Amino acid sequence: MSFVEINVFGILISPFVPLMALAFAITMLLRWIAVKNGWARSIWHPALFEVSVFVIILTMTVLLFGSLRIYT
Amino acid sequence: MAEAATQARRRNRILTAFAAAMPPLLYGVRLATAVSLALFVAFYLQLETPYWAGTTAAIVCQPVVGSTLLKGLFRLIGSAIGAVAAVLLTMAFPQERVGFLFCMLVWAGACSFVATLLRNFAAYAAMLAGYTLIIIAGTSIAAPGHVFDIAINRASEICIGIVAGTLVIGLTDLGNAPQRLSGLLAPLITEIAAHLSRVLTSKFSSQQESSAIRRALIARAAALDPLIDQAAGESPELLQRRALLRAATNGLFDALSGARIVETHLQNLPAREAAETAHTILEKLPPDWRAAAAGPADAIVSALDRESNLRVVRGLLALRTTDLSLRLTADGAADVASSLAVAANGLALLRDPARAQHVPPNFTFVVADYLPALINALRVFFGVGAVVLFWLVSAWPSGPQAIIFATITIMVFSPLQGRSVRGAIGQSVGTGISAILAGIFKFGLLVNRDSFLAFALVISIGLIPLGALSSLPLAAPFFVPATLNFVPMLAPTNHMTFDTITFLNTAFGLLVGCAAGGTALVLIPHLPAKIASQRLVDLSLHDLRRLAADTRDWTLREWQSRMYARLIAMPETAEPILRSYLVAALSVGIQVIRLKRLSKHGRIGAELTQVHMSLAAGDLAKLRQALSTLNNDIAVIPDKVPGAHGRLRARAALLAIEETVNRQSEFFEGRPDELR
Repeated sequence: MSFVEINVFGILISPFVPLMALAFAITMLLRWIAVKNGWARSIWHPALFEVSVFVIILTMTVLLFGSLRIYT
Repeated sequence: MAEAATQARRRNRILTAFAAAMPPLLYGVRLATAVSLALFVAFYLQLETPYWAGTTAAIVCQPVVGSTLLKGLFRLIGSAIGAVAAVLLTMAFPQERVGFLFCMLVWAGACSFVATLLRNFAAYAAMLAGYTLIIIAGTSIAAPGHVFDIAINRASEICIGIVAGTLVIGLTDLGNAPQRLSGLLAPLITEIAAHLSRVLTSKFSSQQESSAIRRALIARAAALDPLIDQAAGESPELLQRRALLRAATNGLFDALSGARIVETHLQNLPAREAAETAHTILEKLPPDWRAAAAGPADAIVSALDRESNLRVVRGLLALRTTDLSLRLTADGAADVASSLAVAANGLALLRDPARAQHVPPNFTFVVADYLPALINALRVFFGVGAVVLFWLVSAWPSGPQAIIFATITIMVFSPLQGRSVRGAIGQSVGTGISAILAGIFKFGLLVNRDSFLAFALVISIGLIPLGALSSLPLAAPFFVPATLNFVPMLAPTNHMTFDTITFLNTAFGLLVGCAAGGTALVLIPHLPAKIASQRLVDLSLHDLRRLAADTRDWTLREWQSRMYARLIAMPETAEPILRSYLVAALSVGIQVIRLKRLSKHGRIGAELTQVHMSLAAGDLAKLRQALSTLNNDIAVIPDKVPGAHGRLRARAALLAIEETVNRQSEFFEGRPDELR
């Protein structure tokens, strides 16, 4: 699996950038849901947890896009 | 035995000194780790000027965790905006040096203006946008054709530094801002409740004593504002629900306003009538509130519970009376209790979030005073402009470095207001310290170091003590700049160059930039605290008159937001009475809005025009007459006419206005003698 750069009006952008943005958006959504339902109160170290969730979602996003052959 | 005791004492002293030194040293270690991580990533990606990543990581690292997390996010946003603006500016002025430099200065000035208007960490985004453009422009001016690559590289380096710093600090410290905020908010709630009880039981020896206590409480409430952002940065729930924390602070101001109304009214009554009225109200308060009148304030446990405060409100509002004086006092006490309920709700969010009730966020953006922002903008424009002119005339090769650091110095130290000159002097001294240290490290210790690990260990030997010293309050003015300038002075690159001439030119450029920034802060000083605070008072009076004259139709929430913003913006060294004037304006404005609401559709059966006109004109003699006439007009309406309850409330509002205006007539007439 190898990704190709994205051409935006002649500017080549690494495919990792939109994947990171997507993973960040999903993480923020999950965080909002967790706060809304009171689950965030059970987290001992919020910053560590959020970074871990972000990394997991980013990994899943990369694997998903790779398997669906998007940006490849 | 004596020797054993001496040894035990020596051991204790060593342990105490070690315990005291641990937090600063730990901070130094985290700083060094963040800088090393940022430099590693920048080296790995083979970025042109990796030292910007290390510098940014050092800037982002702060001893207070919450501020790092939110600050990091705002810095990312600001850096991106600055980078885009730099590219657009270069595209707009190809081969046009004058236009490019002028717009660069206008952009920096505008960013400084916005940074001053915004509060807390949102201001950092504007600041970053300003000097990120200067950083990129400083490099791209010699090669405008490569501005896009330079912008991408610079922005990447800055973002790597932000992420590295945020990651290391955020992951290695839990922070305690919510606990600190809780520790400050709870005593304020109980002390305000106790203050009301003492007013009702006449426990104060004089009006001055009571007023002094109330003003001190106002200042403490205003000081909670920056801590709210820090607390929000440490907890996702607090971040999402920080409207409750802002409402809590505003509730404290409202409670003090209510207490002031009660106190003013009781002082205007004959002693016997005041005692009877106060006794009736005291009966409605919980036992621990009554006990706190003679005892410690922290014994008032019920005031920390929202439901308990709401029960007090219901009890006071249910008080059926046709006595105007009792109605006014009961409403004032109910205002105190309902406002403390809001504050207790904020406290519940900090202690037990499940119990905190939702509060809709208030998106009102209020600017307390535009003048300080304008002065900061002009300082950046002319201060940096002078360095730019010098560079153009002298063609000095290190000119761009001086421009960059002059901008950073002015923009970073301007928000410190009265302490900015000391900060700028510290910046210059600290830059000198970092120049000496960087020279020793670069030419003495880094030579022949081939691996990144060796490089990181060597720079850590410098960064750990610098970071530790920068976290100590007394040493911070000198060692914070020394820490921040250490990495750019060192200028580490993927293949280190050891050119003494380049090093000396860079160091000189940085020093001149910092000195120029400091000079600008001295030559274009901030508004003195006395003038700044007087302006806030004058602007509030002007707003009150506009409200009374109906030229502005603010809602209750908008009016309160306006006054809260000015209370928070009041300088720390302002005369306490000026905060009282603002609370008086808040109080009278609230009564005016309530009266307008009550008088709509003729619900109180009388015209408020004369009252509003004389309040707007500042004519207190006419105002007193108009208030008395209106009160009589409403009083003669028989109770059997529908709306008796509303009419009584209207009369209470009129009385509250009259008493407030009489108590601080010098303010409402527009001639506060305090500052003559």
